[in-house]
Amino acid sequence: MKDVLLEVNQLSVTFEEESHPTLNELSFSIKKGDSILLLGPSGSGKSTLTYCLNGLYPKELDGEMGGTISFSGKPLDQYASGQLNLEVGTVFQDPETQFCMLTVEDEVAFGLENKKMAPERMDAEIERVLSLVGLEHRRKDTIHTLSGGQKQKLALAAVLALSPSMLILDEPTANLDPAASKELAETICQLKKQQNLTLLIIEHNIDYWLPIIDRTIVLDRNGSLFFDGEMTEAINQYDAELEQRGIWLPEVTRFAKDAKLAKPWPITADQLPNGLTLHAAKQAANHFGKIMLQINHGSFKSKDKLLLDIPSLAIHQGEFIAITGKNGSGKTLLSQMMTGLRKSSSGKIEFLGKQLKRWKQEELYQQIGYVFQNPEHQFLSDSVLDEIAFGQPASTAKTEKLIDEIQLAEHADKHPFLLSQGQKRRLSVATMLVHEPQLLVLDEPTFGQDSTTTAMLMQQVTAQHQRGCTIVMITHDMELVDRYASRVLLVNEGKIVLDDTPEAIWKTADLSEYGLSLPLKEAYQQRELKVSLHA
Amino acid sequence: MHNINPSVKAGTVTIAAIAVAFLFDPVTLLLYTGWTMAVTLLLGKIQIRKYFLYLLPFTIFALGMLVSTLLFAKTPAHPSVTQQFLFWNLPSETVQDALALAIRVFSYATLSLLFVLTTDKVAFILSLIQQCRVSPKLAYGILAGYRFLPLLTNELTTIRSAHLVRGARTKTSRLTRYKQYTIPLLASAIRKAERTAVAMESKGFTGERDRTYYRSYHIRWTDWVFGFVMICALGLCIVFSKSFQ
Amino acid sequence: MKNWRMKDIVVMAALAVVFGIVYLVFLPVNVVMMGLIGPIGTDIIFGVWFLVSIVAAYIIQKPGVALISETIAGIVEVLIGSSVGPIVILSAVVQGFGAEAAFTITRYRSYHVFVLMGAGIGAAITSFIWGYFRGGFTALDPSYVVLMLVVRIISGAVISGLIGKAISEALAKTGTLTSFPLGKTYRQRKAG
Repeated sequence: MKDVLLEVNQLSVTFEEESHPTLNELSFSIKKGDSILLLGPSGSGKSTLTYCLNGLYPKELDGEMGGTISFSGKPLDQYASGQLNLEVGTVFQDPETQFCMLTVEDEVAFGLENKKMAPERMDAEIERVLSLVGLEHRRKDTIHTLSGGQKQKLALAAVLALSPSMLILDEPTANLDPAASKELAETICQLKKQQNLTLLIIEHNIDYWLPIIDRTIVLDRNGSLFFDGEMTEAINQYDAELEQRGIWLPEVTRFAKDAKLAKPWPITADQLPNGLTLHAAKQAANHFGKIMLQINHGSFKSKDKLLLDIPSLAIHQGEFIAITGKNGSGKTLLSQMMTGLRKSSSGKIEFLGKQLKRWKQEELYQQIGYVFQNPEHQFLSDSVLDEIAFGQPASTAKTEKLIDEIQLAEHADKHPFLLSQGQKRRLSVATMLVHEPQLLVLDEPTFGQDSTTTAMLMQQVTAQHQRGCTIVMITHDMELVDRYASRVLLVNEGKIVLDDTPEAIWKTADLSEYGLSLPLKEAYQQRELKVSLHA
Repeated sequence: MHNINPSVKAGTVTIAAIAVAFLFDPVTLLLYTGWTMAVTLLLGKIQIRKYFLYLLPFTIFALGMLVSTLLFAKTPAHPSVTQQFLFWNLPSETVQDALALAIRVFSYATLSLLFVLTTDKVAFILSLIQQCRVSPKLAYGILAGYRFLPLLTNELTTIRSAHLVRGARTKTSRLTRYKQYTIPLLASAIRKAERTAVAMESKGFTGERDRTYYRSYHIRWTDWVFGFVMICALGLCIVFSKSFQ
Repeated sequence: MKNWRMKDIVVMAALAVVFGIVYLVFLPVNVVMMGLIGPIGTDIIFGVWFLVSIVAAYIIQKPGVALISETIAGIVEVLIGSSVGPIVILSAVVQGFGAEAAFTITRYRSYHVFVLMGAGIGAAITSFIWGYFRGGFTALDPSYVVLMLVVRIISGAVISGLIGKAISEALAKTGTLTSFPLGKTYRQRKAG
């Protein structure tokens, strides 16, 4: 029998401004050395739970908290200020907002100072924790020169410096690209194997954590406990319920489900049986029209550094283009240069037969829609209704139709900032559709969204595509690329290194070189091929 | 110069700047400006080109000060005593005042640059905690907020492009547009700040003085010498220019 | 410092950074105005300096916010500092006292628009007295100096008082202030 480390009993939290509790009589316990994955739809109180567990609530809570939490057998309220935080370390979602110092070593030292460690011991300790996460070579660097993935590793190191007995990871990969997420998860899995850490992993992406988790807890929308047990049981008994709550099933499970396999469904690729026949989900290929956008010798320089170099690129009417590649490879820059949002340093860019710089801006952006990564950046008004009606000649019927389509009619008077993540996303896309643009560019629209929002969003985009709108979508999600795109531009270090149909790219390119992985269907078929060759 | 204790340096510069505020003699101010410049360039090992680039905006400001003082000066006590200034014949007193005010701008500027160009920012804040008894809660809070500067500047650029696509430029007035930039930027800053505060507390930060320091700062005798010399130099400048007249 | 939450302080610092960026946008305007109409040009937009203390005081509503936020803004200004030295911290403290006075007089019970404007005026006055010595206004024609003071007071009342209020309330609408007094009053008003 392992010792119980954390015990949550009948925990309820109700915020002052809400009529319903955010956490609802939640009970569970965590034993020493456990690795637990906590899932839940957005708004199910996952972050609230984190704040309760590391003692921030009830101190900072505007509202009521009921029930008890005890750690190592001692109720949380009996810990002195700051003491509990040395026992329970937390890594948060946003890599940008977890630091208060400017350099890597100072940030790690900050935790050690809080612990009142003797300064002469700090050097060695900083070295030790940085090497645990593989950042020892960045020790003297300033934090803002690190990549997102490295920042999360630093956040992890800073917490490990406190030598906590339990680690809470609050959606640590939510803001990272797949390559960086995978690396972070591998780092944590390795740590887990080296040290007897107790882990509570709050995540929306299950796949990364499958190798180490031994139990899964699922919260329901109303903040109550929905499931507590083995992952395979959750997947096989409650798949419909999970999906209905917007929770992503593991990639392989989704695949098995789509392939209409009999239960029990597998959760990792090696559990997939051989010899399956697969249905092509792909839409029929379009007939492409004439050239809509053309770049000739376009480049973008900043401080004498060549960030983008596009000798020639033509986009045809009706294409569905996916731009993909590592973070920082120049995907966003390319999309902004082709739409005139960033002026190219040299070269010629033509849109609908006219050079970009000759277009009047207001006319250009009636033809081009651009959906930014953060929806909030695009909002201009104080209510959802005004947001959609913005800049339109008063055609209320159209506005209302749009607002209905994105299912926000009941929120029409709300401030756009008050919407949920998914609603904000839908609204920001809708604002771009008002003018029925001929070209719609989307910068990682599905990033960090739950499965329900992703499905709705892709519906919105597909409808536009069928209307004849050309789509350019930046994404890391190869499943989406496989399913929707007619053409892929793979960008690396400011250059388009591959430009082909998805099918051709799956067959020829080594995607791992670019921090990407094959869509599962393709990976499966390639595995099948190998099996049959062996036989 | 880089090794002088930041708090002592800040104190010295501030005292000198206050003292300068009571000086109206162009020669004294010119001498002290020259002294401060020499100390910064020689002991601070600053590139001369870079230094004068920083001084450029102050030159514009000083010129403005010069012209406006000439234009809006108070009625002099002895209007009959005049002197030639460029093309005009103006009361000596007015010219003196105007020159003094213009040079004073440079005095402030050189003092500021002495501090800014030779001081590590984090060191300054940490030294404020360790030498000036500033609360760690306040000091680390400020550092945390300061980290947002590059993030928020980038965000402003993105917001601008995002609004451009929505056609905000042509459809709204300038004032509304300022609001449309400022509010999302502030909202994002506040949310970031809240998250950071939580992250700091969850690393066991309580804001109490009872903590250890990886980088510790002390005041050594060289620091006192620096302060003493800087203030004495000002005194010498005053005496020298008096005897000069 | 005991009754301050960590987030109060980081939020004040973050506000200081945003207004620091805003101020940088205004800086060229400042120089142009100064060139056109003399030092009084600076006074017209001087209220931008106190915005942070009025916005912070209105949002956080605790004794000392106006003073401390302005001080933080001064320190942040030094950190951003292309060229302002530590003396700016002292100027900030002086302004902060002026703004704080208005809230102290009402015993931190009222955040009515007149109080906010009063805080802007208070900051204008103390900053002017400070500037009188530092900037050498003594050398200027007294009637011009009085005009400068009047302009600065108006700027304090309008830019920091009125615009500060408008900014804070627009922020409350976005729901970002839920854990601060202003956000709570806004919600109650909306509910009731």
